[in-house]
Amino acid sequence: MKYTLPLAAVIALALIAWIGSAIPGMQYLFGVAVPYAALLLFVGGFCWRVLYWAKSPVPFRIPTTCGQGFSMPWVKRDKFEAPVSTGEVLGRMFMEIVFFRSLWRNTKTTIKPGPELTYSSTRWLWLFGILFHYSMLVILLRHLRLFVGSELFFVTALEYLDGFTLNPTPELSLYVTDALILVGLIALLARRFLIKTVNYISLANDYFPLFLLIGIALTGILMRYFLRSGVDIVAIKQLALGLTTFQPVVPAGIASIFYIHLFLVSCLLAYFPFSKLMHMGGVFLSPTRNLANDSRMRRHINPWNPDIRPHSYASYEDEFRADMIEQGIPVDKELPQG
Amino acid sequence: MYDSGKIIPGLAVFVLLITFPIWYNKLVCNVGAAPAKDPNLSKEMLQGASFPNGQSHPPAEEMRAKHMEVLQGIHVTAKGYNAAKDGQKPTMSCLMCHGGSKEQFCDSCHAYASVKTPDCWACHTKP
Repeated sequence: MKYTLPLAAVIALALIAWIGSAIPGMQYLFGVAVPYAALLLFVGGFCWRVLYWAKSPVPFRIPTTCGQGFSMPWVKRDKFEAPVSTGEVLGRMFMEIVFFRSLWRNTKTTIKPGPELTYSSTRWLWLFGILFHYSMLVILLRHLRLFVGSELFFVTALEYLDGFTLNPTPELSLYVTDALILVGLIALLARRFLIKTVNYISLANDYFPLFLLIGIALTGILMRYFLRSGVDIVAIKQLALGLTTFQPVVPAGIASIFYIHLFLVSCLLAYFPFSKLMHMGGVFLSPTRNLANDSRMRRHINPWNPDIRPHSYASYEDEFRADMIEQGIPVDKELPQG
Repeated sequence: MYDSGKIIPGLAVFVLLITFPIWYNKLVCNVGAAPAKDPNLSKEMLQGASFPNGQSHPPAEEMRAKHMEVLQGIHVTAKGYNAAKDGQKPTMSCLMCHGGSKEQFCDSCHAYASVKTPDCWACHTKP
C-alpha cells in the first residue's frame, strides 16, 4: 500500500533517534549536529527553490478568474476573483494566504437518482486545513520561549490564550492547539484513506509529511502531558539557547522522547524544501493567483522574444536595390546616377 | 531571474523571520546563564521531608521534571483539609529547606524558562 512505506519510514526515524540518543556520546549528534544541518538545509534549500522558481519566465497572464472580470462600467464585477490592479491582487493574495479562500470555494459533485448532477459546497478540507495550519503557527510561536533568552510579550499572550482552560499551574494547562493540530492532521489523513477519489491520487509523498507531523505532535504531547520524567525544561532551554547562540551545550539526562521529537523536527526541516511542503513559499509565487487579470488593458511582452528590428519595404529596397534591378524587379527608387 | 525586486526582499524577510531567535538573542536580550542547582541539600534532608498527603519527597531529578504535577497533586488533596482550618493560611513548606526565598528557589528557573510562577503566596504564607 502507498501509506505503509511512509509510515514505516517515520517509525524508523523515531527508532533511530530513540536508540541513537541512548548511546553515550551520541546526544551531541542528535542534539546539536543534526538540528544545525537540518536548519541549514531548510533555509538554504528554501532559498534555492524560490530562486529556481524565479528563473522561470511567466510570459502570459494566467490568473485563474472565478468571477465577472472588468468589463462595461455597468457590469458589476468581482474584484477579488478577477483582480485588475495591484491593490486587488494584494487583496486576493491576502485572502488566499490568510484564509485559504480557494479551499473555501471547494465544491463536491454528486449524481442523484434521476440521474441528476448536483454541485454542493464542501468545506471540510478548508476547515481541517485551517485547524492544522493555525495550530501549527501558534505552536511554533509558543516554542520561541525555549529559543529566546527573554520573555516575549506575544508568546506570553499566546500561551495565555491557548491555555485558556486556565489551570492555575501554567505548565499543566491544556493547550487547545495541541488537541486541534491532532484533529486537523488526523482528519487530513483520514480524508486520504476514506474518500475513494482522493485515495486514488494519494502518493507516498502525500502520506509522509502527514505521518511525520503526527509523529512530531504526538511526541510533543507525550512529553508535555504524559512522559514528564527526564523532561527538565531548564536543561532543554539550555540546549536550545546554546543552539541559537552558537555555543552548543548538551545537558546530561534529557529523556529520549525529547531527542525523538527533535530528530523528527530536524527531518521535517531537511525534507521541507524538496517536498510539497514548499507550498509555504509557493503560495506567494503562484502565477494563477498573483497576476492581475489585465491582459486586455496592458500589452504584455514575452520576456524571451528575440530583439527583431522593424524592417520597412523602403529599407529592404535600399538593401537589395542593385540586385533587384539586375534581376529586373521593379523598384520604387532608381539607383543613384553617376 | 524575474521579479527580483519582489522575490529577493521576500526571501530576506523569510530568512530574518526564521533566524529570529539567533539575531534577537545576539542583539536585543542578553542570554543569562542557566540557574544553578541548590548545593545545600543532602540525602538526609530529602528523607526527612514529608508532604502533607503523607507521600515522601521524590528525588531531585523527578522533582525537576514533574514538580508542577506533584505540587498540584498535594494542592488538590490538601484543599479540603486546609479549608477546614477556619481562615488560617497554610505555610508554603517547600521553602523551609529550599533556601527560604521564592525569588531564588522558584523564580530563578521560572524566569529562565519563561514560565509564569503560579501565585502560591496569594493563600500560602512564606515560612
